[in-house]
Amino acid sequence: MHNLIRSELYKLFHSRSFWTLLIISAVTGLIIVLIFQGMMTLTAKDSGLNRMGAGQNGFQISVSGSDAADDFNISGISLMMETFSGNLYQTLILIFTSIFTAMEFSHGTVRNTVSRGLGRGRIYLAKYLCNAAASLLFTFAAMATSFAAASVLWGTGPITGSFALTLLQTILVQLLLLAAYSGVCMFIAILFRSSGGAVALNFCLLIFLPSLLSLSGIFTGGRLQLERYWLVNCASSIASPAPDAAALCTAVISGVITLLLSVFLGVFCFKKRDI
Amino acid sequence: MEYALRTNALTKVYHGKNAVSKVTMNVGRGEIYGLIGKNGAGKTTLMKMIMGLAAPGTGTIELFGSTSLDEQRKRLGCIIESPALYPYMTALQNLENHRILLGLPDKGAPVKALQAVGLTYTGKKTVKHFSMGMKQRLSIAMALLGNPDFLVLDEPINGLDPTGIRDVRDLLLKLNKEDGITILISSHILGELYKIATCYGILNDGMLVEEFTKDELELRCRRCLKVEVDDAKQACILIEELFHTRDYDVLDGHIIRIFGQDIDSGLLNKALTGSGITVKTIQSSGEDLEGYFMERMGGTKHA
Repeated sequence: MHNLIRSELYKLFHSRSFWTLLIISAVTGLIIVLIFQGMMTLTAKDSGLNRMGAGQNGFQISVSGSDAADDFNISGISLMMETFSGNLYQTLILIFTSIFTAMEFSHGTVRNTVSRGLGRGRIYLAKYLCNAAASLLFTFAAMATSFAAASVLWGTGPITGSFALTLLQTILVQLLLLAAYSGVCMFIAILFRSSGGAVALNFCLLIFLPSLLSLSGIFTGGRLQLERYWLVNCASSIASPAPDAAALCTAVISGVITLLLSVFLGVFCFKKRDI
Repeated sequence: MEYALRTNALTKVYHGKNAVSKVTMNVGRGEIYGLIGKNGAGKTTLMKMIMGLAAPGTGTIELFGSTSLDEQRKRLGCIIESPALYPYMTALQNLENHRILLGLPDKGAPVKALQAVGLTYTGKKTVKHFSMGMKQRLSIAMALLGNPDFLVLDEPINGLDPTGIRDVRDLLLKLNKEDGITILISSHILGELYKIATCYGILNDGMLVEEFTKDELELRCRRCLKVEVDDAKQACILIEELFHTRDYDVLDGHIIRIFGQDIDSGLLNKALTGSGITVKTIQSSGEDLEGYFMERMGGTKHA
């Protein structure tokens, strides 16, 4: 198993797609901050115009973005957590995982590992761990650049003892959700065995699955809302420095179950099909 | 005799068709077994089952006398179908990755493997820029990594130039002679297979039609005079008296094959008919290897 993981990491660090997506991830984190900066500046200008009017009536004038940031509670930490909402990480993960997994079949290199008697279950797990590691690296890259840039502009934000603990818990849960998502993408890639097909289906799942799951609420009169448990929605619901405890709990349960199910099904399919 | 591979009634069905049908074969330790068959005969499917890439439908496989196949497959190296390489890596990186996968401590093993197949000059060129022959050589190098005891090679000389074919042949013979490596090799180039293999198996429509050693093959392909008579016993006595030879055999009770270059067919025919023996046919015979294989694989059809 140790050798399998080392081999996967070797391939990972020699993979052009990995480094490309890592750079894209870091740059995207930066771009998010710049977008927020732009929005804050526009907001500040609007506030400034209003205050100018007030100033003419004797009130203090302020036209800075920092004031607007304070108004909206923007900081390095909050913006770093903001990157978890939306589909940034999921998009990067699905592209990379689909390519990195399916290429073993398109190049035929899966024969090299399977034919050496290394065990298909272990081969799958090693590949999954590497995919998950890559997913986390993309996440850290975007988090690091967004935190650094936002901190320069608006400060890091308050980091007290209990708040830091909550923040850490939230980040860990987000990482769990992303690792689970990587498992789902890898399972799809193992089914399709082609990069194009896997990327396409994973994109469709990302875009359409929440809508499909929301039908459960319609058909059950709101009693069952499956879309709440979908990984991407869970990630969005806790995309803040101090999310709701119930939302965190739901996210943990969804993440663990999805991760275990996707890996189990993936191993099962990989073992059963001929190469 | 110790066997590297034994299969018993191995069968594989794809979409209702027997890709491999009840194949029972034995590959002895230290042999070079040439597997021959036309396209679609089942050679690759058979090799895939041996290497664990496809699950057998029925039947058993033994490697080195053991049914713990995953454990024994660590002693195997293979090339199945096309070269399996990472195009974005160089030759050395591909081998280095494979070395890590196998857990080999010798960091010089990839370079030695490249030297063995004559690929030391590729430098930083990635595999996607390699020719077919270069990819094939690299695949052979990967199969040799880890000093396997048994090589399973599915058409390893595809795409190689004549120099490359000779080099691979010499390499395989050297590995077999010096290191005692057992080799199961399939190829369409029968002449090359004849130079390498010590025994053969012919696969046709998924079935193992025939197995024989090289000596037996040479015997079957010797040039001879083939005479079909109604009384083979009497005819044999006459042949021994007339030509002072016992270098002949009798097939199916009525076909006599007389080996040797200097048998006068006219004289023989006259002598046999003069003795009251009916001669149905008399002809020179002796196939070359290709002709013999084509006949056993089903006539002149080519897939």
